[in-house]
Amino acid sequence: MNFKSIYKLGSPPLFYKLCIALEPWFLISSILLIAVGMYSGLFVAPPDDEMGDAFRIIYFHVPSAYVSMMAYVYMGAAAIIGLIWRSNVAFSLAKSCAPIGASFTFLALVTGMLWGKPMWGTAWVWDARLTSELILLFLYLAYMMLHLSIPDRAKADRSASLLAIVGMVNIPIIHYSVVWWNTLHQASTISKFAKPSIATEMLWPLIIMILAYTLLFAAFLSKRTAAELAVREKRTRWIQTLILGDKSNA
Amino acid sequence: MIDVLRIVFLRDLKVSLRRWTDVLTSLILFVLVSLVFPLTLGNDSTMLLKIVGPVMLVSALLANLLAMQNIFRPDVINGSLEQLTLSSYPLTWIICTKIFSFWLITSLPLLLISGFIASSYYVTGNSILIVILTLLLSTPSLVHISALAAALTVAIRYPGALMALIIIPLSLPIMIFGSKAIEFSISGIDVSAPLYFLLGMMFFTCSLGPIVTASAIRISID
Amino acid sequence: MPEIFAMDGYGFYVWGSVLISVAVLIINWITAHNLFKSNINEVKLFMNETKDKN
Repeated sequence: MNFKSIYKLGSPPLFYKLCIALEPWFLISSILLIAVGMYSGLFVAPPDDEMGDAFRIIYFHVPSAYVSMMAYVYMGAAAIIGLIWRSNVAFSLAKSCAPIGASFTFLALVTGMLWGKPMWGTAWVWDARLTSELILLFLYLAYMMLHLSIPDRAKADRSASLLAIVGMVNIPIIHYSVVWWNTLHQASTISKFAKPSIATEMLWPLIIMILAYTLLFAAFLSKRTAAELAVREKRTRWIQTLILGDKSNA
Repeated sequence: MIDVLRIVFLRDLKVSLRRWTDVLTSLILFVLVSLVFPLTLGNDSTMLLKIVGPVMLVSALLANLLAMQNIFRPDVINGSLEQLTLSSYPLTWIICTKIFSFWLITSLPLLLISGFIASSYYVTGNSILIVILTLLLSTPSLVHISALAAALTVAIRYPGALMALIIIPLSLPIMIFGSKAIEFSISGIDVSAPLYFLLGMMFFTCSLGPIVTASAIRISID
Repeated sequence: MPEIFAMDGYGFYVWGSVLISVAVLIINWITAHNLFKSNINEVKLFMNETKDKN
């Protein structure tokens, strides 16, 4: 593993150019995969025995829940790296993860409610998994509000990063809540070691949608991180030459 | 170092007692919030017995939220916290002592009065002891979490509801298990499982809390 | 066609989730794009200020 190349990622010009270059690829590939996944999930996959056609919400609910948790882990990891190495790149990444993660958490909660109403008869129930997902939404909002409220940017970065790291205890709670407690929310269908408990024709659109949502998250993240890095580094020469270059081209 | 901690502890006690209106605020808020429910919901004893657990914990949380606005801000304004940060004594222990003295001032009266409030909710016998024990185990965790939120927002001029937004998600497990403990003891089920969880949360927050709070203070001050 | 729209009686819930997912994702992209544009504009403005000073 080449540590030097990882260390180079901490340089703002390199990371900015990487984000700008990768973003179109992420966006286009994710749109293609979403189109394929949505078509096969909504029309091709056979209806479930007990749930009928309502199970198709799984193709929107599970990917957004997965990305919501993954975004928080990325935010926490970026926060740790930023705190240890005082890196602008890491703090920009953490700050950009928050609004995207919050919107995916909101999506997970709303699609879950739309699924729960026909299935369980109630849109909401205060069991462990739903409550901890709601806590995740509040943690994202608290991070964003804390970052906005502190005027000095370096202080805001570091305080908010502390909050993100403290909130990371919630992620194992969400993930293992269906294992530890007897909840209304069903157990995991996909696990790393066991054979998935879902039929194959229903499984592969789900995998495609999870991949698509992850790539979409990467696209949004690159765009926002590039935006954040540009404004943080506005006094440096590299961003000014980059923008001047764009001006002369446009 | 023990001398320094003793001095910080006694000084904080004296200062808090001098601001006795703050001390009383949290106590009065606790009593008032827990009295609003029977007054508005009526005198049905079965219903009151069902809600006494959550009401006790929510009132403790709200009293905490209000009281903890003042744990660090006056000391930041008069500069003493900055001097303590710059001194060669470990900030973690100093923060731990500050939080302990604050807990004594704000939460200990709560424990004493919670027995009376619980009996006004028709709780009898052994369950009153369980209510006091639950508050005894949950208030240190709440105080440490609130101290973290206070340290993160101490540099903000008008924090508003930001402290609440930070405290409430982090303290939800304590609220859930504390209410369960009181509910179990009223229905007669074995109450040890939630109490063990509260004890575990207390150890977790009281050991790691001051460390994170100290780094938050360092970030917010300089 | 109508049975695709009705989705076995659960049409409102399934298509509701589709619509809100697509809407939130599109809103996400639009806000990210606008943030990028406005930040680049901010850098351009800053460059113009400092250029006048020099």
